[in-house]
Amino acid sequence: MRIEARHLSWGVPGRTIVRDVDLVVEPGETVGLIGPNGSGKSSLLRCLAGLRAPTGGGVRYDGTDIAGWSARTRARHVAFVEQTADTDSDLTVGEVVVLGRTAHGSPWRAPDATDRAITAAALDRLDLTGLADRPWTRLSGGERQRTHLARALAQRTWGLLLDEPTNHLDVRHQLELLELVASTRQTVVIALHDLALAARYCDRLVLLHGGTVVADGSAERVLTRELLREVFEVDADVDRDDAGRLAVAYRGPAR
Amino acid sequence: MSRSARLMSVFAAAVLAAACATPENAPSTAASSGAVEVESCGKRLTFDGAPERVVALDQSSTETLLALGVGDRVVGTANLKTRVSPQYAEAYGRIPVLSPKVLTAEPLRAANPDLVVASFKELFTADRAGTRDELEQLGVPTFVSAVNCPDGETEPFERMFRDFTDLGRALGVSEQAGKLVADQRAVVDQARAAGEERPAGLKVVWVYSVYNGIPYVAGKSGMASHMSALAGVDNVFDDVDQEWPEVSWDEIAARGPDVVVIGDLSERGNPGDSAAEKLAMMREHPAVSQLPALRDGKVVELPGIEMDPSVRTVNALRTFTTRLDEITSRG
Amino acid sequence: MADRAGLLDPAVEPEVTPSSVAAPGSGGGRRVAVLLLSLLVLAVSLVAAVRVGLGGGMGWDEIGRAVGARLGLPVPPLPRLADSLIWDLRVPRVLLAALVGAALAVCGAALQSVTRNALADPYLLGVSSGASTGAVVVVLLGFAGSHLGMTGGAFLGALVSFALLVFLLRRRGLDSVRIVLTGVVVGQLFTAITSLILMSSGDADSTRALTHWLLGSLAPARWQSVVLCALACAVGLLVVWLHSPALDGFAFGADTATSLGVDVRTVRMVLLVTTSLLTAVAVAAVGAIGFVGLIVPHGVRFLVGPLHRVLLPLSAVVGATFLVWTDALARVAFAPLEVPVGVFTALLGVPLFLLILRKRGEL
Repeated sequence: MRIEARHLSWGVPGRTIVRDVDLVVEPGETVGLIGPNGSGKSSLLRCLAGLRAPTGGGVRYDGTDIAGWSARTRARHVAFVEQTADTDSDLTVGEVVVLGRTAHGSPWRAPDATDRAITAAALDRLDLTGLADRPWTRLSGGERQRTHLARALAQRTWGLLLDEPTNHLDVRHQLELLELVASTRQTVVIALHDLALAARYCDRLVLLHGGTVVADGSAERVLTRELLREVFEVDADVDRDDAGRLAVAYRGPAR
Repeated sequence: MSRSARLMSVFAAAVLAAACATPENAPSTAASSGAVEVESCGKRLTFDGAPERVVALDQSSTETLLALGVGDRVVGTANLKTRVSPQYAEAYGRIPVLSPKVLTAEPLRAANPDLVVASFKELFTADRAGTRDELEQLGVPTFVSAVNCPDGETEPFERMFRDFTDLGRALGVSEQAGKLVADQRAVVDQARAAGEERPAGLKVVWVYSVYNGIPYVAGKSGMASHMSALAGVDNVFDDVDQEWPEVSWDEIAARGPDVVVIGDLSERGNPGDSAAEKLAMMREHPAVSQLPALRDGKVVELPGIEMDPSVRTVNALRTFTTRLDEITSRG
Repeated sequence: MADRAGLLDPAVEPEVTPSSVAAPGSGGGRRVAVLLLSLLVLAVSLVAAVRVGLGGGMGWDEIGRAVGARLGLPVPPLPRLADSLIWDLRVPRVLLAALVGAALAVCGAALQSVTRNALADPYLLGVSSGASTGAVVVVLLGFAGSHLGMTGGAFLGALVSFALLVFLLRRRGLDSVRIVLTGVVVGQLFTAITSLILMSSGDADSTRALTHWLLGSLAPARWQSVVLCALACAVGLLVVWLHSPALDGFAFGADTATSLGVDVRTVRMVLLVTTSLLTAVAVAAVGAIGFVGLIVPHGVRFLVGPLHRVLLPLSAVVGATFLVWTDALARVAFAPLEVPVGVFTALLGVPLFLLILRKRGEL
């Protein structure tokens, strides 16, 4: 599924947060959204997910403008994982993942065998099968994150919009998640902090600064020393290591 | 025995005789010959025979029934505020108390009454004794004191006397009722006469109770105001069209009453209920304590229960006028 | 494994063979058992409560005769008042307690989910305060004698307060915090109006008539209110229950819920309207009975978890049973005095609540 943003703007009264963003994500692509805090990554993702009505421009899935789509229709096209989605409720991991099936079938019916099978598969993918009956309140931050991801996978959508899903994960799980994301046929837009991981696992990077797209392209094009200094305010060397992977060596904050 | 009294006794006897042949809960819709019809606050009550199982929903009704001498036919009473007047204490002791406070529908029906007597129609709501309509459909007549349903022209005491008369007819004790009315009417007439003699313009305030430091006084629609009018004095809060409105001590002082009547509710026992406490409160208030009424001791203490419409109200009237006479003669 | 991967691939139609279903959530069987058992307990409670509150020296024999006469059985008829006591007062009262208990518990559960606030109860939106104002106005205008008058006035008052709530919420959206705050504001406003009216009229009798009502009481229960409540419950509880998936979806907030496909704004509005109307009917009939709507959902969640598909029906049944018993207690504990039932829902509810908090490790 192709996700497109055209002249997309959004903000709250008195403040524009996403400013005239043009972005095209081809079917199957994995795009890494990077930028410092406050650059508008979360807001852009929410606009792409249809959770915010743009104040200017629009979002299209496969060429069709999604303005006016019902939440149910959108949920069948993209799954969204927030940065921190917490609850006081004592849902078990299995129960949270099966929530991903809400948009499928009639709104009133209970999960059926197919739903349960899909849920089991999602749990398995995120290595959560053993935790299926563990209540939310007894999960670690990383386990919670993985649960949300499993829930998103259970939605079986063509699009996946993930807002910094690696934040609380330990390294192994971070890498596993990114491998999953990179290898899936779904169209993925994933916001990331770790520039090296972003470079390694994403097909393309989009650098946001102050709500606008500052760079959009391959890791080499985007992760340049100048841009890193200008946008992230850090001094860094960007090189290819022996295996050909992009490595970012931070020297220090920009002076 | 006067002719009318003789007629009434014969009538009462006939009614009593008919009562023995009548089943308990027969609902009467049409008046058969010998049936007594009484109109009570918008409902027409028909009695084919004198009721044998009367329930009184409040103290005032209970005492009225006792004063009419039918205590042995009262099978239940409720909502007693103070001790029953000593003259009825023995008869009262034999009556089952269905509820120390407001009576609700279930215990009322369990008592199987054939007449229910109350002083306020508000006692007949669904969450209390049940509505008058409901009870009517079950064939139970509900008598509400005429004092609670003013017709705009009859004086409160006269309405009360009508209660006595009507209840007397329904219960088949018209002679007793007649005597009661006559005795009490005499007191009222005497008070009225004394009132006409009294120099005009004397202002009175009736302090019934104090709750949370806030005084409740007599307004226009109550016995206190009527007693004031009879006694030829002005109730300072006659401009308020309620029975016991809540006012303020400042307002009381501002109206400059010449005489203060204090209700004693010591038996209820809540803080501030006794006359002494109320007097102390007034003595402490900056404005009220300056009133000549308090400085010169022009204070009348009456049992609070007697300020509400009941058989005892004439006692209050008697005491009130006597004290007023004392006060005005002192000058 | 390939089978499993296919299940998550949007390009592949999921093929589910019975053997591949692991079924997380096998607690389903246990939940159904709990529900059936609680229904049984409720049924027994209804019958027992009729007997428990029965005075006048009557017992099962009289109950049998009253009910039997209605069923056309050849039983000796009861005297009229005794029959009326059982059939016109006792039975409707027990039934109304069950209906109101169910309604309050379900509304409490739904509002706790919609507002994401564990302390939400059916009166959060100010509906009961509005109803009190309506009742006060009716009593003071002199229609108190007619029971329909007070009930009708209370219901109208509730509608007015709800209309005000919706009006205040109309623009900036229905997020959970705003709902709570606006509800509190509306509730306080109408409480103040009620106090003002009571004060300025100051009629001791009307005030007394209202106090009992304000504390909540099942004494005015009659067949009329039972039928009304039953109709409201049938519709309202069903509507809320059908929204179970959405209520579950609210767990993580509006954005996640929307991304799952829940039309958050519409669902919130539907649930607010439904719970408010249902609460209004309950309050109009019996006054504001507290604690049921707050505590029962927590207790039930403790037993069967937070999924609304099971939580709501079970809350309804447990709420019904709870109120039936507390009302019976209120009737007999200090007989012949009738204690306002709200006293007992608090007396029983608070220790239960503390127990639950302890078990959850929060105390």
